[in-house]
Amino acid sequence: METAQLKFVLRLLGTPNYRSHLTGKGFKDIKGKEKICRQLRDRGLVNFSEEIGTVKILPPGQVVLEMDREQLPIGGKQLKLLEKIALAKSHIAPSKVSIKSLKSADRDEILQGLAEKGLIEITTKMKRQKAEVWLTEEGLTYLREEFVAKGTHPVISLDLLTNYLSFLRQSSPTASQSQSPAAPPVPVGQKPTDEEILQLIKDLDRELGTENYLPIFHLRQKLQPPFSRQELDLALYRLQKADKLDLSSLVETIHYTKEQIQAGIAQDTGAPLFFLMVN
Amino acid sequence: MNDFILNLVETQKFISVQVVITNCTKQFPGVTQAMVVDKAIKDLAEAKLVSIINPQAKLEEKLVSWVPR
Amino acid sequence: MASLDQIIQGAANPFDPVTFITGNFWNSDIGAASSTVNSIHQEAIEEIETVLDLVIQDNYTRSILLQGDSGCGKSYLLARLKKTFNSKAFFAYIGSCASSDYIWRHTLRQLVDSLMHVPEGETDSQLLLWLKGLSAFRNRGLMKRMLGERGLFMLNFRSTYPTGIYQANDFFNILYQLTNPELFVYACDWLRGENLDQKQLKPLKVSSVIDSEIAAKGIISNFGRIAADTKPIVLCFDQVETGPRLADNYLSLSPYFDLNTSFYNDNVKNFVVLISIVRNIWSSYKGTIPQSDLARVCKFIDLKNNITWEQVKALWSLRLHPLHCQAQPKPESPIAPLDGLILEKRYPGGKVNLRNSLILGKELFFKYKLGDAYEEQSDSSLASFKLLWQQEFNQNQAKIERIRKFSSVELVEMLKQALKALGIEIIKNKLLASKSYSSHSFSCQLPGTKQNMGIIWYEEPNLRGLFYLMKACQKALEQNLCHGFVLIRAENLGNENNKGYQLFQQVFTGEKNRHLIPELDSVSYLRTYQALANDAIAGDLVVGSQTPSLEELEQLTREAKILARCSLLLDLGLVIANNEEKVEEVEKVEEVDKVEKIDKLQKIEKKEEEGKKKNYHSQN
Repeated sequence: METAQLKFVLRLLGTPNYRSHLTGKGFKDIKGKEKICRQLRDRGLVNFSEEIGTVKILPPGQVVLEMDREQLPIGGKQLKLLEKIALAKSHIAPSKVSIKSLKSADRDEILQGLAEKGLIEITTKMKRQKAEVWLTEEGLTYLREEFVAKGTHPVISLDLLTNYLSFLRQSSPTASQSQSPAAPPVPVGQKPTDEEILQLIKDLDRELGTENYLPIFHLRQKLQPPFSRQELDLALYRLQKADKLDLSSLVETIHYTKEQIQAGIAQDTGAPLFFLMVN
Repeated sequence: MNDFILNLVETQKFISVQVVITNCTKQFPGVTQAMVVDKAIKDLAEAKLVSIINPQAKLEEKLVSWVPR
Repeated sequence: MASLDQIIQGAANPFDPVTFITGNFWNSDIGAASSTVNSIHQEAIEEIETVLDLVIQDNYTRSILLQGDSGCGKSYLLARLKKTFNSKAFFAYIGSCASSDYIWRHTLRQLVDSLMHVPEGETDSQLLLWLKGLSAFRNRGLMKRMLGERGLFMLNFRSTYPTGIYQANDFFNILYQLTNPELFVYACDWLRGENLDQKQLKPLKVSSVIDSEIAAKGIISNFGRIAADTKPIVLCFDQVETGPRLADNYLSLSPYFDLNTSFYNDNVKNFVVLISIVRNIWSSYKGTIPQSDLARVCKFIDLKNNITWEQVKALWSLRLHPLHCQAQPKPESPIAPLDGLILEKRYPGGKVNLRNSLILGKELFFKYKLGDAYEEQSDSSLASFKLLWQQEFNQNQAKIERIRKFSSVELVEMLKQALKALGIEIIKNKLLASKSYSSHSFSCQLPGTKQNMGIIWYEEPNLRGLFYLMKACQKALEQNLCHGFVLIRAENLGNENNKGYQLFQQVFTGEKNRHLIPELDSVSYLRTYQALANDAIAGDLVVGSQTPSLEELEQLTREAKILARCSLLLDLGLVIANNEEKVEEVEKVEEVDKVEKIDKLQKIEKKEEEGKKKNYHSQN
């Protein structure tokens, strides 16, 4: 691994959940960070948030444009975007096919949808704004078990070394045995930090497809033990206070069993707090 | 209107006569202060459903309280 | 002047929604102004304003879906929108629609009702103000003498809007008739989709009535088309979660989304469709909405579930302000006598649901006022309910000036909901087969008997309609669909010259089939119950310090024996009057222990004296 890449990776080890914004402290000033990220990604060690780089129409997309209005499987905005993409001779940036009054986030979502249907082709690139980069599971395994450094020149600071040491100590053999299959390892006997709880919520939400509206009983199943019910409640409140999490109440109880409903945090009045929403 | 006053006093436990008047005139347009004080509250007090704590005080200072069953 | 403590002793709880004087948001202009903490939902208001500005700019209809926890302040937000953007748009409140077959007509009716409201400081209704503000209206001149006013009016409007108006002749005619004070009510009734009788239609000079979903959609579209000259119309669909439920209690949201999609497919302009829904319900049912319908929603706005401690304190101080104003000396803390520290204990997350924070304020106020006596108090939830009922009933009674304020379909829905509260089973929901009357009829079991009673409520003035209704009844009786019919109708039945009346005489003789003339008050009872029931379903009902579910509301209603005072229900034989109640109450009171009473009085007098002492000390 080149020095620049190594330093980058070690810096990531020092972040909570081994994840950071590229504009975050310690990363902002790294020269050529996009290139480093790409190289590391090619090696499978990191991944980063991407956005749509270019779009191009595919034959099925052309067919849709020639169809009768009534039979169209797609709606107004999607159709407009598709028409614009078709006008371009080849790959074109999303900003060039945008519609007035359509936010870029919404536009990208629609483009994603069109790509999933096979109507257009998209290439991706690293997000220009608010991009995050994180260490992958393979990256962590590699660092834990395989990486070997060589050479006599001092290329990394002691701080970066400490990051690596902490990481290795955390990932001691006893800890890695009790990994839950779907989520980052929860060390036995050690209660997860608030950040880890937040990450677990995100992971569970992704796994279960609850679209950032995770019923609390899933979390309780995973974290009680090692937490008591009250401890977990307090942790959730801390996250809420830090504006990282929000709690929503349950009104339609018919979809859940009595036990599941009781997992909600009871309120003095009104419905129990039941759904977890990450901010 | 007596029912209204009764429920009001029961939920508030005790409340000034002035406030009872304000609430009654809001709920029942056309009702006068006399109807509230000299009739309704008086009837309820006589039926021992409510009680006027300081019957000798001036109107602005009178308080009505709830008499539990 | 009295001290704060003394004032508190005599004051009604300022957090109690019943006694909070300026609590009625939608209808009271004063209310919204004095009880606003501007930071709450400020982002949402700004986002909605952006959309509104876009519609003003290019006239294209846009839709917004507003989701938030129950109690987070959705209705509060709608009222603030209305107050804040009153000069930019017309606001129409579209309440719960019980029947998906009538959703366009329901929307039209409520739109017209909203426009018939007279704004503060004006003498004309919104509708008239709007009409008079149109350029086509103002253009008078010499032509007036030649064509006559009506002719000139029609000419102006037709030339201003040469195309794109549904039933243009009838519509412009009606607009003209609105300016005639004698015909105003009939003209509004026509717009509201009432099935008027020939006698009423004649002076209006129209050839049709609005009696189908397509016609209703056409008229709404007309309003939109004309609104381009003035201001866009914001349709606020509230309490969508109280909509019709299918088997298994499954909520059907598609009527709303079909309606929304139609706005775009049929190029209806100048509207903002604002759909407000409880977050939990939305996340449960959004998967049932086709992607193409979702794509028609321009903006999804997520209301914050909770407000911060600072915002709670701001709300509390607003509520306590009137009491503080009367107090001498002025309290130091703006939330005296309440203490902000309790927020940290009760809500360690730093945030709390808006409604819950008001309920907490109420609880703390009481604790302070009653002191030790607080723990000993008995449950007053029934009294709280009765008080709430009285307030809501009085408000409805004042607003309901005639039975036909509601469509017959709405009246039937209210009746069915009240029956559910009484525990009466509905045997068949749409009794009469004919599509025109199926939603006006149902059958239920008469309590205490095995009889299957058919009930019809038909208030449409149109006597021809009455005739066909009678025919449908005859057929139903022949097919033995029910034991007998009760026809509820306050409107005219016609006379011997009308076929409808003749048939009515035939069918409704004897004991099996009866005719009931409902009283206006009965409708107030039914309407009040329906509003409370809808609030309960949406999780918005607050009684005392609780938020009862629909079942709990039904329980309270039965305990309070409220529906037994509704004359229509009594006449239908569905409830028994409760005359025995009053006698019992008086007897109980005489058993009260004298000693206990004196003790309590002494406690209260003591507190009063202490209060006076405090005042004395603080003055010195």
